[in-house]
Amino acid sequence: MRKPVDNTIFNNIKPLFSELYNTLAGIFQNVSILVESSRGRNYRHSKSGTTIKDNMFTSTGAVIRYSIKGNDNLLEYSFNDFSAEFLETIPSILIKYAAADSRTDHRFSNRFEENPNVSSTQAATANSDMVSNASADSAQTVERLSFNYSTEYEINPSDLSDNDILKALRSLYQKAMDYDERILDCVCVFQYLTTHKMFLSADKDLQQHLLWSNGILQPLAGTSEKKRYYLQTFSLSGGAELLEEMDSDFSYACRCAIDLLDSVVPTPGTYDVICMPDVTGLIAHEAFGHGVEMDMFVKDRALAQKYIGEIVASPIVTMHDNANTCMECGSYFFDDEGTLSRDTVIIENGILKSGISDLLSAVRLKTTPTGNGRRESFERKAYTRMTNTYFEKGSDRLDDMIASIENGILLENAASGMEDPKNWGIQCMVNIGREIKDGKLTGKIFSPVCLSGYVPDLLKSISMISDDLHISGCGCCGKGYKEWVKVSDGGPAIKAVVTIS
Amino acid sequence: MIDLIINILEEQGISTYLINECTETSEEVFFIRQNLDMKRAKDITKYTVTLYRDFPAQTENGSVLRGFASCTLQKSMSHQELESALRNTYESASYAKNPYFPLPKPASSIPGTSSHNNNPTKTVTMEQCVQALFSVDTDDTTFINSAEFFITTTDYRIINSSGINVSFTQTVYSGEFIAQSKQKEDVEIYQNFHFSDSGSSVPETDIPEKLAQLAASTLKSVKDRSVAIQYPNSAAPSVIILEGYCVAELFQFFLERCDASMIYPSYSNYTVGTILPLKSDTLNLTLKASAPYTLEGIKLQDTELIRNNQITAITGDSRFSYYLGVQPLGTFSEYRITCGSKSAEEFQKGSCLRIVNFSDFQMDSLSGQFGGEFRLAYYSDSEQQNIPVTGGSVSGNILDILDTLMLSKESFNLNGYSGPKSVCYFTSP
Repeated sequence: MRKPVDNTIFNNIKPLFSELYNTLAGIFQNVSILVESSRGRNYRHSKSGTTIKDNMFTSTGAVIRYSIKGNDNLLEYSFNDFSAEFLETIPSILIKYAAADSRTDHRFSNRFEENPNVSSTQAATANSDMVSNASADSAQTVERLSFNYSTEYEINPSDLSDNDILKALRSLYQKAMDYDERILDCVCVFQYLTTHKMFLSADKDLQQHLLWSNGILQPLAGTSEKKRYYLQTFSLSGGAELLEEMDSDFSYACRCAIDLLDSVVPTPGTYDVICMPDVTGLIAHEAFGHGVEMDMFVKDRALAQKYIGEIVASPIVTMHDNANTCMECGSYFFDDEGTLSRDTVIIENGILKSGISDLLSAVRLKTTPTGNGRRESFERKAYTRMTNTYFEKGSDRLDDMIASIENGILLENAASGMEDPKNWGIQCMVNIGREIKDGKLTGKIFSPVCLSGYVPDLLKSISMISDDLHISGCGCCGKGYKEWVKVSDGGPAIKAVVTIS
Repeated sequence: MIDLIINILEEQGISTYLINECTETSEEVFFIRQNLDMKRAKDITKYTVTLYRDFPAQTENGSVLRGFASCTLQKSMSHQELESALRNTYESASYAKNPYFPLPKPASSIPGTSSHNNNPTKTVTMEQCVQALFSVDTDDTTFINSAEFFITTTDYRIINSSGINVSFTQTVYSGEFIAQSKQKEDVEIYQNFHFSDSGSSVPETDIPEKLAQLAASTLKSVKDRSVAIQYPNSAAPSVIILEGYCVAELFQFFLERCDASMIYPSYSNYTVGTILPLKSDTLNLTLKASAPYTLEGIKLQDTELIRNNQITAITGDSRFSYYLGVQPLGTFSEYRITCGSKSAEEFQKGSCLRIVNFSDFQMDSLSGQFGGEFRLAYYSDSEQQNIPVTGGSVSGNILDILDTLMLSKESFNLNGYSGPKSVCYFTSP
């Protein structure tokens, strides 16, 4: 029985913020307020000991976006004192800050023009299944879109005692240690985050309440000569029901860590490869995820801008960014600028169809925002960010895909990646490559495997796609080397040709 | 607020704690080309409280156990909310039992007193930083595409139940910029920067000048990348030179391997006295105190980590340092390496690849594996010198290259690293 995340957390402070909004709207223009309260815990057990601390995204505060009347240049102010006394001082703080802005910004150019694509009504209709399926008490009006939605869970981690969660992790640790004498340690982590957000603007009064959970099993295998680890991750939009899934998968992680002790570095060259879903997801994320973030279009930093409508991948490739109907760690009902989430088809049958966009980029580009304006927290600026990014499944069986390769590598356990949207270069680090000879896995392991190349070459080489789909989101995505947000990615297994160095 | 927290802790009978108060104000500006796109400001106060709970009656191997857990508190929480959060955290601490370790005590020279840095207000303005960066952006075909600047001033206060009560203020100047060139191919290079008023590598007043230098060198690199040719897969250089910030990332391996949290679970076997097998050069590495204290309240002091290829210290927090029986020195982010005696030019013998910009240089401190795809390198052999190349990659293991590793005499400093601008090693035949 799935239950909705508590949606009453803002009941006490909403009147204060509504009053603040009304006051600011009388002084400034383009006023919006995003209030955030994100709380969660991180539990860790390993040979090093046991720790309980707050989730890294734990954060409570608000950000006000506004501009001075007669000047559309946007300003933002982030704060986390919600006392009535402090909120009363905010108008004067913003006036002072805006005055300083008008004095010094000789470089400021007005880039804001009316964009018919950006209206609340249009953004609202762009939203679809996630809103209609949600457990909610909705009160939508024509003038001001209003809702209060929650995601669902089976077991709320905060209903469990810390001891229950740590018992589960200690049990996993012990099972891993008992698996083989070459397992030297196993880092076992469970973490969750409940995020509550309230967005107020002229045409929106929105609340959302989300819960995601992540798990990590990282066994370390070693001999006197060598030590290697395998990182197995688990994730869902939901709660502590994830612990059961972790329990069922520990032996695979241990076996992989041990296999890695006999790994060798691959001979550089061009290979037929099978990418397992986590590597497929990394490619989706790095290749045409970052590559179609439309704040990059505004800066002339993305080659994809010139290829909308063009063939960029094999005709069997379709790719989405979907915070709306795909329920994973990157899911939400509205983004941090109040735009409703949606399912954006980025590549359809090999043709680049659309980028993903935050609100301000859409204003500048005169396009429709796609609900991808996200902040690391209320403390940071909103940028165009991915949500759940994945390739659609195909019709091939994995066994047939492996059997079709004479000399190649099966790639699994994605480690990290880096994009180059300007030049469509891609670099992905993968922890395990399994040798394929004459259509069969030989048991030989390559590690680490660095695949690189030109994105369209890689995507156009995709010749087979498996008939299953797996999306996961245990990691975070950065913009450059900062601005971390929770995302997920994945897809089916794909057969492609890549350069391995 | 701190008094309130301490009062509640006393009421609840909690006697062992660490309280961190962190008040942050920031100025942030975002540019597209030289046009200001957005301005932001921040005014935040956060409290992190860690509570400790001892279990002398429940022992494992005869030792006292210490549980601990932490939580984040907010200024505007009600008294009741604070009580509940602290009670729950203390309860959590009873489930996270670990071998006992003591909390840091006040440094003997300043017991129980506060310490502020000498210059708590920023001396460099946002306008100076912005103007410095754009002062070298004068070309139509090679230019700064976009830039972000953050000046963040943070007041830290650290209090624990063992008598530490210190505070300090730190201003950090950070950001990033994208250099773009359309000289031939339309390409870009990403560059970030991070300086602080208490940082050792760049004096605060020199930050604008340093930013201008960094922008100039990045613009030169992107211009070269624009005319670079694809690196041939068949190339097999006998010498690899790594240049720029990847050198710092490479040496980060030693900082992590010398940390008590890596040594305690046997992820690293380094100990004081371990000799690193460098044969072609000598490594001397000194950790620099970038703040007066760690967030645990450990007084940070410049510390020699490696002298003449020999490990001379183990760093770490109070918990893992106690487990290893070493004095807690804290964890460092800034360090200095003594430069070598040869110039980078002298390294370039035979076929040589000098890599100056990676897509994403990766260094795994457990295995020692490093590498990545490079966006700009220069290739030399008997027929050609310093040809800009792009799109290749290198990989290796630091433990395998130490015997041929050499440090340049040219120096470089960025983001807390100060030391050789480049290192060189020979590839296996």
